Amino acid sequence: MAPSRTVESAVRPRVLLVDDNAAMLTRAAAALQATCTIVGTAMNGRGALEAAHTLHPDVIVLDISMPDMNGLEVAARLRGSGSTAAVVFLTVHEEDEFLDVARAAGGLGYVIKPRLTTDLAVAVRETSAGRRYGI
Amino acid sequence: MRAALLIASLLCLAPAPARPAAPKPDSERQTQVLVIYATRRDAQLAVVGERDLPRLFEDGLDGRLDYYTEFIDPGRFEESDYQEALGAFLQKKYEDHRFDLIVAIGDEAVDFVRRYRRVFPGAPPLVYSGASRRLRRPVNSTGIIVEPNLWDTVTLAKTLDPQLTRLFAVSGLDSGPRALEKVLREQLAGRDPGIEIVYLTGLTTAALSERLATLPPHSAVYYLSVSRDSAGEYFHPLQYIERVVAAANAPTYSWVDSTMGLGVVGGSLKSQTAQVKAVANLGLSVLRGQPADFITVTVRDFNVVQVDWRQLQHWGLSESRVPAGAIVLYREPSPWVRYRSYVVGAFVVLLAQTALIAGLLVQRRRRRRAEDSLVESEAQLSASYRRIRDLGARLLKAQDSERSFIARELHDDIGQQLALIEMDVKLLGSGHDVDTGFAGAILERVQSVARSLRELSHRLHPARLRLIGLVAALKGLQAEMSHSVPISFTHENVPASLPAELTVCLFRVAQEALNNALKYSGAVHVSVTLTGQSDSVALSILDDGAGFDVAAAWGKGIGLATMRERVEAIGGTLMIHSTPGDGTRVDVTVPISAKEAGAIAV
Repeated sequence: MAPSRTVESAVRPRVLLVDDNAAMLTRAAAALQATCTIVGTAMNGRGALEAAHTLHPDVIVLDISMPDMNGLEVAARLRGSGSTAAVVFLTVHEEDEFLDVARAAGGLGYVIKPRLTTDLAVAVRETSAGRRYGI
Repeated sequence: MRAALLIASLLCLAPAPARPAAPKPDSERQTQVLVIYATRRDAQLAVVGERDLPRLFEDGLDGRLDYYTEFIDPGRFEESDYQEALGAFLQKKYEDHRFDLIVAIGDEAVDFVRRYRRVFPGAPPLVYSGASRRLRRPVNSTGIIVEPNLWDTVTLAKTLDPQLTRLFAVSGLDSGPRALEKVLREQLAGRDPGIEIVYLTGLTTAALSERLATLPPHSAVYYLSVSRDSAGEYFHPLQYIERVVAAANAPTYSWVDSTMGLGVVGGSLKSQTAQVKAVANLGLSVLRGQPADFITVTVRDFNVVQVDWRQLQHWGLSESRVPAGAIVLYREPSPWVRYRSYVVGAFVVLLAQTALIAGLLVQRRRRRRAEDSLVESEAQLSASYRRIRDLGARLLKAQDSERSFIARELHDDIGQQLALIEMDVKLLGSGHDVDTGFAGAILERVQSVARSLRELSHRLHPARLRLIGLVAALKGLQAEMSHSVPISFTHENVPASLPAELTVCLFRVAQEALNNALKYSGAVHVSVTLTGQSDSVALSILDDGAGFDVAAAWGKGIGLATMRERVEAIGGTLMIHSTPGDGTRVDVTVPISAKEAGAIAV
């Protein structure tokens, strides 16, 4: 657990949303609105790295398939740059081998997109508290 | 008769007006020297004397020389009154001259001067060169006695040819030659030369030639001198020797050096040059004021053994027998000495030619190799072209079938399902009553469409390969395909980051090989191995199935050819080992850079 995390944020986590699909971003924001503060969104890997650097979110919800830099690589770079944000992958890939790689890349949560409405808010809550979800 | 004519002509000369001789003081006056030869004008001794004496005197007198010459030639002018007439003629001729020195060459010249010195005003001193020790020395004179040394030539002949048994001495009828023959007889007297001496004196030239042409074996000729034969013909002695040499069937020897080069082998030869020089030295001493009578008359020997190398060769006489100190003339250079530069030049040219030929041969061989390799490359290129064209055709066919599959999938499956969903959603929105499971059915259909799309996408390109890497993608492939036949997958030292084209290549090869193994081989077990090496990554797929005829399989379908094209496109190698009934092994090796080899995948 990162020491910089405040009590308030544990109650209402600050979340950065990353997805190259705007509709998916809207859907995710809607799903989290009640329980989280959306501090920013990014639509590609590079933007995600910049936003994480300036906004210091508690949780980053990260798509895997993106055109410039995939989510797994973004997660690995974030960890390499000393980011303490918890990463929750939000993806269409259900295969087991993705879970392995996502775990290796430093992901704390894993949610497949068809289950966004039901699972994402829970995943953000769990991971912001330092617990794994679905991974 | 001859003498009478001469006297008449002299008398005609007599009335000629006397030259007005302007008397000069002694210090300015030229030194006047008269040289009288006993011989004819063209005798060799006279020729040498006329060549050397004026020069020797001029050198000794600093050029102030007034030089005259007379020839007695008693061999051709034998009349008793000839010499007296000659004396009268000379008296008339030189009445205005005051000779400082008279030089007489030859015994008869000495005798002439002794008798007629009075015709020369002032009775000048005499210096002479005589041949006979018995020569009477005139008053106010000095000289040298140069006896012909005829004996040494006899011993030389015997030395050069130890088997020599006869020596034929050739001489003529005149006084000079006769004197020579006499000297020879005297010098032989009491000595044993070990050979017989045969005198051929005074023969006709024809008879002599015949005789010389038929000499018995182990003979030699000794030419003394011939100026007239018994037929009464006159000859120049040096021209006559050439007749002798031409006629003789044996080597000819001589006693005087003027005969060298005329065909004689050689001999102990008198040097006429040395003789003339000795006379000139005596003359200069007298001209410088030494009283002639005070100078002793000495007997001198100017003989030097000389041989003509060409004649030694001609008569088969060994050069090794030539005595030490002898002069060997006319030695012809050996072929090596004579043609050395040509031989060396030819050799150099030969070497250069050899080098050139060698160079050309090497060049030709290289060109042939190049041509061979060109032909080979062309064959390869042409084979490659055929293969590519064939492959291209097969790829087009494969692309068509793939497109038709995708189109069928999109239209028949996804399209149909979307149409159903559209109808269901319309029904839902129209307010019609629907049963409670209706929404669940729509959801299921949507999920099915999503699954179909994902599978289609995956078939088109494995997204996970790009996202999760080769090892994870192969694990996925293993899981996907292990349904009917167990597939084992092991990996070792695989670099974490590999170029996309390499991972796609290896993944596709693995996919194709596994497809083949599962579809056709009837294998019970299949294994996949991925191994990282320092500069390459190796992938092996083994099965224990039926195997197939690899050579025959290349031309069929698209699978194997595509595999090979993929691998070769990134510089790798593909090997397929298979024997019907004994399984199949596919080995792929692709090169990687050192940087990529550094990081190992987890």
